[in-house]
Amino acid sequence: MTMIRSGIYIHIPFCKRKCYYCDFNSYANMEDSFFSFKKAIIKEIKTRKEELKDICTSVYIGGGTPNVLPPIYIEEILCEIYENYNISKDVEITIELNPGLIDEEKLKSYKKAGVNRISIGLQSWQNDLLKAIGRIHTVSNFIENYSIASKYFDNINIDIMYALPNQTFENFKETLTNVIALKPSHISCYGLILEKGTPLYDMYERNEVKLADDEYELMMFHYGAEFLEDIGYRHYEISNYALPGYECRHNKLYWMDLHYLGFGPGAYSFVGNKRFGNIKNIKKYIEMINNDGHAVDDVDELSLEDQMSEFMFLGLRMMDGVNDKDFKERFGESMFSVFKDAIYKNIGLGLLTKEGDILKLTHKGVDVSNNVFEDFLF
Amino acid sequence: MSKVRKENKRNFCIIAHIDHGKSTLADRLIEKTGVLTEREMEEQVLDSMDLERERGITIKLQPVRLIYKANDGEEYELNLIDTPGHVDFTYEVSRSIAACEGALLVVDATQGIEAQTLANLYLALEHDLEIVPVINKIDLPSADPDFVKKEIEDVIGIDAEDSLLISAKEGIGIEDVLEAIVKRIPPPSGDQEKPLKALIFDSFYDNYKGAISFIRVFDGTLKQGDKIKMMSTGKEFEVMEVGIFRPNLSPVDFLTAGDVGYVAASIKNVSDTRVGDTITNAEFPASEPLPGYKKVTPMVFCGIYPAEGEDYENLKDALMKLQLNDASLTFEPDTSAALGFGFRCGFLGLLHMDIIQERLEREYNLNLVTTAPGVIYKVYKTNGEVIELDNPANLPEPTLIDHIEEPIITATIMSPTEYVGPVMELCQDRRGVYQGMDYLEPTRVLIKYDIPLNEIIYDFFDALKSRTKGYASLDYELKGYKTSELVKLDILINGEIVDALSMIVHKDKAYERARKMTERLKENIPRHLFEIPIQAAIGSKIIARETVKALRKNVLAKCYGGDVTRKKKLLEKQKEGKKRMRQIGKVEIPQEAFMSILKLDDDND
Repeated sequence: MTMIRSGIYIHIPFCKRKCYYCDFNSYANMEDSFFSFKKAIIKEIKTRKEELKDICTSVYIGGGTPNVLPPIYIEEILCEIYENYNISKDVEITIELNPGLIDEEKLKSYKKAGVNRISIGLQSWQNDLLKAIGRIHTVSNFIENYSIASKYFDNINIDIMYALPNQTFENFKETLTNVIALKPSHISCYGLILEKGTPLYDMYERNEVKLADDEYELMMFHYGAEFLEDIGYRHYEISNYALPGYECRHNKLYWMDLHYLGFGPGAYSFVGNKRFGNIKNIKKYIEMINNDGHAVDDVDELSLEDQMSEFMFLGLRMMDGVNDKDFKERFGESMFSVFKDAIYKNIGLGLLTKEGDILKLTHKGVDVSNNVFEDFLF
Repeated sequence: MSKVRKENKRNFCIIAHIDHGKSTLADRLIEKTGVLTEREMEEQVLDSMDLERERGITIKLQPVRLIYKANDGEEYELNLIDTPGHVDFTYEVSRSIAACEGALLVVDATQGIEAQTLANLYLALEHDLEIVPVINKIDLPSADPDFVKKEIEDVIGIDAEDSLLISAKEGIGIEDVLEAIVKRIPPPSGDQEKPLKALIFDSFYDNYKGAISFIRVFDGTLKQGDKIKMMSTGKEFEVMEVGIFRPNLSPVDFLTAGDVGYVAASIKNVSDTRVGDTITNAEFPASEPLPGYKKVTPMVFCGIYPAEGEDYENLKDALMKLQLNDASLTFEPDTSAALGFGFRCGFLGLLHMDIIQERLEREYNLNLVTTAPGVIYKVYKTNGEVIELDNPANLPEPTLIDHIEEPIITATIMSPTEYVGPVMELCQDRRGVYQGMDYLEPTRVLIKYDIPLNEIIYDFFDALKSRTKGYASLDYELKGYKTSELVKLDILINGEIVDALSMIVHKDKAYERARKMTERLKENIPRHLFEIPIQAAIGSKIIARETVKALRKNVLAKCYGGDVTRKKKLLEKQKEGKKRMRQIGKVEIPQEAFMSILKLDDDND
């Protein structure tokens, strides 16, 4: 297995329509900006080439909905990446696709551009639930799209969600059963998060939707984990499951606290001891890039303590946990001395477990991971 | 500055109900007499605290000197002493009244006289002040000046024929007010040749000059270099500076009989300038002090604790400074197992308590946790001893108590007749005993009830306002003490009594309050990794119970496209929130939980 080194994230901030629960940086009805956006992001990719010299083992094109763009744009963007960065030979290149807008032409074009992994947002197997959260596709759109996609790609992720408004336990089981029948190599299974500023939030405030309570949501999460593990998917991160050998490299890069560059509006980068984000507004992003090739809006310079905290609360999201050898290699001391109190307190509470050099969340710890992570802040 | 002869001085105050336009009128008077240029003039100059401006009420009196050239060609010096309008601040009003010869009675032409205005007015009449009725807001379509005039005559029994009709907002009739002050309010009496007698009616602490006293000179003169003596303590100081209010402090050469001004004398200790004390000349002392004020006794008590323990000294310092110009505030050190070191503080009423808390938080940047307000109970023990109890935590064992008495107030409520039903219902519900009712006029009624004070301090005022659409007004005075069946209600969180949440309530109200308190606490205590019982108990008997369920899960958040910073900030916020919580046994209780039980009745059920 290739060692994970560093990665590149490309943010496509467009959607045909915003889903009601989504608070990601994406916008509908911006077709007029596609071209100037593409020009800008290509310029950004070129300008920032000095920022990342390390070997790049994954590229992730996310959104938004990358498949709203003309596929040729994706080819151009990837070409620019290949030209300016040190891309490893067996790089993992993922593109997120939303059903309803996938066709054979696009898939061929992505494949030609070097994409070798696709991630399709299904969310649920019930049309009424899809409609209720503002998805533009139906289950049959998804099935059609998936069957074409599987002709071109063998590494496919399907995104599903639980704790959706009005979703029953049976609905969720039905979703799981149908998804595994397609044998995707990877499944991301997320609980719905009610975010301020989204239409769903307003609907909730107005009492127009009912959401699953904590207990119910937890039951679905546990059920999903057990169900998928039973048939051979490994639960390698809180929300992610994969067949052996198909864990998403780019995903793991984040949890392993490795470096990455993010291009596009609102995309985040982490290089050196700095985390920084681009400006979110598309027009401003394009303007800033056109002016000086950069669009950084928000910089967080990390102290040594910040770096240690992040290493821990990111690393612990992986079911394999954090290895003290890696911690020592990075920081020159043992996490068992730096975070002595936090670690032993949580071991005492039954939320963490220590196996030699390795520290990981217990099942109970996964459920209340934020309580555990909080203790790793200084 | 005191070249103006005594005959050309007028000292006056303004008596008005909240939002009847007192501050606006004061602003117009200042504007008209040109103390400040229009550019300097900010709306409502006299309400110097931000808090006052936000709430639109005056809490602290703040004097100002106006120079006015009257129609008779003479120049007059007018000293305006602003007064607060709320029932809690009657004490402040009495201070300003003692420093004046006359009062403007401002009444809203659309609303008529309110209960508190009446109380303050009686105070002014007691001091023989000349009353000048001013009917404000005559520009409003619903203004009915004739009706208000008649009301003033009927209710107060003073001649309202010469009432001034004005609109402070529109600047109508301001000149007439100034003329009336000159013509109708008498000049100050007093003799500048006699030994110095000056009444301290207010004071505040200045970091450079020390304690500064606001004074009204009755006899004699006062200048820089004079040796002065405080007549209540006998302490002597040398005068560093005397001055007047324009409205900022402006030094002058001397102050003389009839003047209103301030004196600074390097007084380091705040308690050396007691409001109500008389200042005299140390070398030629007066034989008798001025009458001073009736000492006010606080009626409402609560514990105030710094949210962060290390702020204890700062809190103490702030309370001392506030007490300097608010003698009605009392405090003494107190400790709570739940809240640590703090103070048991006494206030005139609930608004006074609110104001002090807000001033501590804003002006002194303190983060506070307060306990439920209570009153002073008289506990008669079986051994014959009587304790005055202001802190429920100190209530003796039930077996040692013979009986308990609680303070009763007489509430005077003025209300439009259509709300008599709801008002009486509210009073009845608060264990009130009906005393009588007077029709002031066909549409307005004065209702009297004797009500236990501890029922008033739980949002009675808010409940009254909401039941009468804001039309009713309230005044109250202490009537006395009465035996009552009172019990101590304790709250147990995870099996441990939280002393700061204990309160004394009437037996019949205990269940309802217990239920509401446990419900509120349940809403405000975050889930822990274990289940937390919240119980309310009288002695060993549990009368209400709620449970905070164990935390079983967090949001299993994904990482937002590499936005680790956001994730970290969320975790930091979560952690920061916990830091500010109080640890009771294994349970972390947020400040909001303590605060949430303070207003149990705002749901009005």
